Amino acid sequence: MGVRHVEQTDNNRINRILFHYDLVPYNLAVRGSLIRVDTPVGSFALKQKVLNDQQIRSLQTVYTLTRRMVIDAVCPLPSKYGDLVIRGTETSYYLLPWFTETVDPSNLQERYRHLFIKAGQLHRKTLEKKADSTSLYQGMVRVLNQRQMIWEQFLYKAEHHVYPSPFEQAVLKSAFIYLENMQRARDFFSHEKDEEGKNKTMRRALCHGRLSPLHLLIENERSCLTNFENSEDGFFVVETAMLFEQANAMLGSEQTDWQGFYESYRAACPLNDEEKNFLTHFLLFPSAHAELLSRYLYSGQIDEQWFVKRWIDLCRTHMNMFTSIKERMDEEQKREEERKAKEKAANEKDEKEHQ
Amino acid sequence: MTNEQGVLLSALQANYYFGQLRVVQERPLLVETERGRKKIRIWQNEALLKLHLKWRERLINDDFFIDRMYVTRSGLPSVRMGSLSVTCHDAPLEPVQLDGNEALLATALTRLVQYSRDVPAEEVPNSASVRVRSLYEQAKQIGFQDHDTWKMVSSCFSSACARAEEADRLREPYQNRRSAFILPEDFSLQSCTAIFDTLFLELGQSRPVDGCRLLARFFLAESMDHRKQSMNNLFQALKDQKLFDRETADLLQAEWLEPGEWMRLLESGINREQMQSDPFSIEEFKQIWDQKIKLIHLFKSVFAQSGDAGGGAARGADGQQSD
Repeated sequence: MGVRHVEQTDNNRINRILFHYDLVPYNLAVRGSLIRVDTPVGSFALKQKVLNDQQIRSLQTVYTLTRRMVIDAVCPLPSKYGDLVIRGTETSYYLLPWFTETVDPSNLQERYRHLFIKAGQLHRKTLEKKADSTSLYQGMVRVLNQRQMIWEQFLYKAEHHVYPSPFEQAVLKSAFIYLENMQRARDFFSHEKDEEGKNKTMRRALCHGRLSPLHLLIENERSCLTNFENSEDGFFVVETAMLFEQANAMLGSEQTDWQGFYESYRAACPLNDEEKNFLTHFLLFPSAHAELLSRYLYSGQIDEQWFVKRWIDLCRTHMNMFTSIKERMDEEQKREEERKAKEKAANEKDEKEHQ
Repeated sequence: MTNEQGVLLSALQANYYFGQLRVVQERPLLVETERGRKKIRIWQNEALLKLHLKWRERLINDDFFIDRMYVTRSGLPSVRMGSLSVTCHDAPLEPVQLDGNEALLATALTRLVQYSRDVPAEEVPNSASVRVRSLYEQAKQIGFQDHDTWKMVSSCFSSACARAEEADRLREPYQNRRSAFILPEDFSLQSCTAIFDTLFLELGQSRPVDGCRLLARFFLAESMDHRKQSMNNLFQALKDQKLFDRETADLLQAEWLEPGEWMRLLESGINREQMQSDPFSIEEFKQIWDQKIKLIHLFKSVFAQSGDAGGGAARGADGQQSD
């Protein structure tokens, strides 16, 4: 990453911010979106960002949780006046401890491996009571409708072409699988009530809001989530599902240990049956596929070859991810059933002996 | 080092992130730390401390610094020591002159006028014209021995009355305000220092008083010490900020119009008769009287250009010069 020395004109502005921390820098350097601040008492990262009141409150919540050691996160350091954020007229600033990262930002496999663990830990440590999830299910149906609409537009156009393009042919070939999947997902998310007719409930927890391999700092074995400004309480399974979806799109054709990712998350935050069902049904209508179709529909210049390759990659990784996770869930289910059967048998044996 | 000071220093060391502490000045208490020079304030009045904390909160901005309270290790803005509270503040050393810093001061003053507001702390003073007339009647009855002073007082009486009436007229619409501009009682240019080309304003620990009165005195004092151009620059900079509202403009002019120096000269004459010493010479009186008229003219010439100068002290401001 390019290093630029902070220009003289910027210095006073930075010094004014650092005055809030009583820090006197001997070196300032721009590193990506951060300014590295070297001082006699250590190195820090100064971040400049437009933040609203809600985002500042979110940072304060996470800071309190971190201070109480509930979660392990890299939070802004408080100024000498006790502020986490130095607010300006247009932008705000906050200071973080400097992390010497040991995993390159381009190493997505390793970053996602850590990310699934940290997401699981965050959700598990901040777990709250179950809450009525009717609105969540209704929201999912809306998302599904939007994505299905793109599919329908694409298919309508493709089917009316006498000679469908290579990309259209590729999509038409696999369309029936996705349309069927979307129907299965719709069936699932349309049922907001459980078998007893009561509204379904799901567990809530603190959600990061912008989980990404770049919002994670890794120094040797230690990794910490950061950039919590969009965090809020929510049904955490949505964040988990979206993380799988994102990783699927980001990792593309790379060989990925999906079972390992799922296992890492599950080990930190075990999912219940309803959450597992939610996750698998959410993954039936991936956003990346719909986005690619939409891009094809609305972009002027089309590189057919690129679209075909991207489509094949997406379908392959999606299939790979979905079957891997499902397989692992089924194994879990089987083990659980075996355990229950054994317990039942042991109980029956005990009862017989007593008789 | 006294025993109390030793206790105070160890309390500071225990509660703030300071490694070393060395007293460099006793009153006000300044300590040198590895993180620079800090001012330590001791509060006997908890209510005043709370008021000052809220006051500073309202004034946080990125144009100038405020002497905010450092937080302790446990995140509190003060340290409790028996019945007292102790706070720690920055203490920049670089003094600020008006010349060349007019724009910086204008930005700070504009923000103060906007955000340094609270319920008016003081009682509304009696009408200035009533005070002028009653003092004059009182002096006539007692009888003035100092001929020169009496000559000056009586020759300026009609102007003093006109100015007092104009001051009353300007103040009248703002008598029942719920929120007023406030400033600490000891506010002056000495309350301002600079760091990183930025103004550092010390709110201190004085009680809040009518901000317009203090600001009017501040302008008057500065105009007597500095060239006219500097005051002109300051007023122009304030006008450019477009936030110097009509209320402030009216109340500032009312402060200058109120013939306080005339009343002071008269009182000083009466007191001299009663063998009390409050020396206020005719020279000093003339200087203030004339300076105020010049200041009102300057203020009006800058602000009235686009009709910003408020109610306009059409009659009073043109009061005759003392000589």
